[in-house]
Amino acid sequence: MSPPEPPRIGSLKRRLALWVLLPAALIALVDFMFARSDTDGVATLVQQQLLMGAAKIISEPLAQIDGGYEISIPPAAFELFANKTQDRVFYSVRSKSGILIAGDADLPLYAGKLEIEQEQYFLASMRGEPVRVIAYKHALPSTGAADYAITEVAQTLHGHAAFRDDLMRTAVRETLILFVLLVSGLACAVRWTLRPLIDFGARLGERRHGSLQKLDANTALAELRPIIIALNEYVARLDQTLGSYEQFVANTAHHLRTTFAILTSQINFGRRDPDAGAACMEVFGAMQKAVADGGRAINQLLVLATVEQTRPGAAATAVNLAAALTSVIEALAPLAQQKAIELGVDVIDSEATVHCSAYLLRELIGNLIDNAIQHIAGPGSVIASIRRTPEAVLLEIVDTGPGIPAHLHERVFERFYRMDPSRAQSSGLGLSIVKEICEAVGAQVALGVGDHGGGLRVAVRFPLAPLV
Amino acid sequence: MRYAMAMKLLLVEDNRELSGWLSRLLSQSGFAVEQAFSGTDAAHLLVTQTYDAIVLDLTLPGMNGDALLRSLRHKNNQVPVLIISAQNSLQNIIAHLDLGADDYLAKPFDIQELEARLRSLLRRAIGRSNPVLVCGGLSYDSNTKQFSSQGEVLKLTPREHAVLETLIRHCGKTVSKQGLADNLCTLDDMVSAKALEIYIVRLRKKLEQSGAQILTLRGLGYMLSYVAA
Repeated sequence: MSPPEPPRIGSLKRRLALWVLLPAALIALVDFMFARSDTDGVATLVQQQLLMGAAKIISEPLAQIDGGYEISIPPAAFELFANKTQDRVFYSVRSKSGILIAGDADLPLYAGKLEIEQEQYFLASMRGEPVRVIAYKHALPSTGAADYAITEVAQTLHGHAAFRDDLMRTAVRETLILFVLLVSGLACAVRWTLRPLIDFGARLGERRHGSLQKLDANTALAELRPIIIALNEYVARLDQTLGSYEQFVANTAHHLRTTFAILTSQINFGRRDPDAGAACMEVFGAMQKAVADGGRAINQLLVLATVEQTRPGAAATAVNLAAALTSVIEALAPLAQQKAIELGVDVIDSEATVHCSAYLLRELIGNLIDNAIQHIAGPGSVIASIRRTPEAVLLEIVDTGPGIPAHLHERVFERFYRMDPSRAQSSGLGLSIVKEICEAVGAQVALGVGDHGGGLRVAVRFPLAPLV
Repeated sequence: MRYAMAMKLLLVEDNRELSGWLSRLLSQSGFAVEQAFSGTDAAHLLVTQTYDAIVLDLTLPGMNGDALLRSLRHKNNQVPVLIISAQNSLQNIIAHLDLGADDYLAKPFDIQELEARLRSLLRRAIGRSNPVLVCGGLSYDSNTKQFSSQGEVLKLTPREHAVLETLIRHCGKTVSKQGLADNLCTLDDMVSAKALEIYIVRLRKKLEQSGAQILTLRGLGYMLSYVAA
């Protein structure tokens, strides 16, 4: 079963970026909307000022002479509108009674009511083009307020649109520059603020795997200090626990070994007694064997304690597998001889090396061969082989013992599991040590059937040692 | 086996029960044993007494075995020291041999093994240039070129002698059949594999009482080793 996916929290950087950039973008958008309506207003105001100016210039020279009207339009009135967009300008001057005095008769008349000296702007259409029109009601100078005329000036909207777009472009450019400045400033701020945190993470990552070294809380940021103090407390407790655990294991092993040494001396003493009969000798033999089994169990427990504290890759060197195998076989040969078990090797690649702790490798092979010897009742054989494939180094140990049924292949690797609980001399630790060492050194162990359909075959696959 | 002159041993072991049984066993075998139950006791004894060898436990009250050994060697006292310890890691053994110990035995151990190693140490101390090789009850004096089993001189033919000498020089280690045959070749002409097997069979018979056995390790060769009964 795979471990559950951790909830997606993301990184602080991403969170900050999101919650800073999103509002900034929103502000920029609102700013853009306002700029849009503002620029339109400004362009309209400018056009209205021009129209008003032109209307005043046109209406200025209007005079009533002998019941008729006289007007001469100053060209300055139209020069006001000179620009690149070549807008068309229309005008009309009408009398109180609506008679066209000058200008264009098609220019639509303002429909509303106007006071004297009042102007009104409106949009209309002139020869198929939209125009902005000013209608300006003014009194005739010679008649006082009794007579008046309405001057209208209209201009197409090209200039207005161009001016508005110009303003808009400037506004957008300014907004963009501000936005970029804001974002880069924020990015720097975020980076600078988070730098100590990122450095802290990197420092933790660089530490030796399983390091119990304390971190310096004095030079850390105030926000990180509680974390570091908590971490240091945890490390101290772990260190203490591991220390007392190691001490406990060492003390227990020391005590038991000393006790066994006393027992062995006593047995040796008894055996040397010339008056000891055959029955006594048999008892001494059995006791000696029990002591040896106990000694083996202590050693196995010590190995397990060591494996538990071995981090992957710890004390790993390139070890010649054949040399390690040979030295284990030599150490166990007397035991095999006592039980009339043939011990040796078959195919052996003397060049194969594996990358792990030499001590653990010896314990791994030792437990495999010892386990095989322990389970063979009478004469038999335990034969090892070493082969190399392009991907792995393969160690195989085949014995002629009772073997292990396939349905128990997983269970026999559990600590203290014994296939035959009546066999008192087995601690049930041998294969669990093998399994745990394999896990510690990155090897795989598999069980099978020995040669000729009987016995046990144990295959250990070591990954190829990295090229140094 | 008794020596003409008793060898004087200092047994430094804080566990009085173990010390008591060991000294009884060693006395039976003809060693004159004095007991010390702490490092400081031992240090005091060593000021006035001289011993042929010291059997030294490492974990001791007062002054531990390490410190005692270091102070001995510091005073240039070259008395052979055999360490008996309940700490049997390889690193530990190497560290103590580097400190100046002459041998190391992990608890629990068989008394025969302890005695064999002590004898070896004592002989080595007497004639340091001519070591006596020991394997269980079998010993080889390279000075007199004689093998003895349980103190009795073994009668061997020259070829058997050559085979056994090669094996005892590599006691506890395998010697390939080819390696053995090559050693015999220097004696005279070629030795066939069959002939070698015959020598081994004969030697096994002669070694029956010694506790040492010639083991065949398939695919590896022969190995001389102490095999407990």
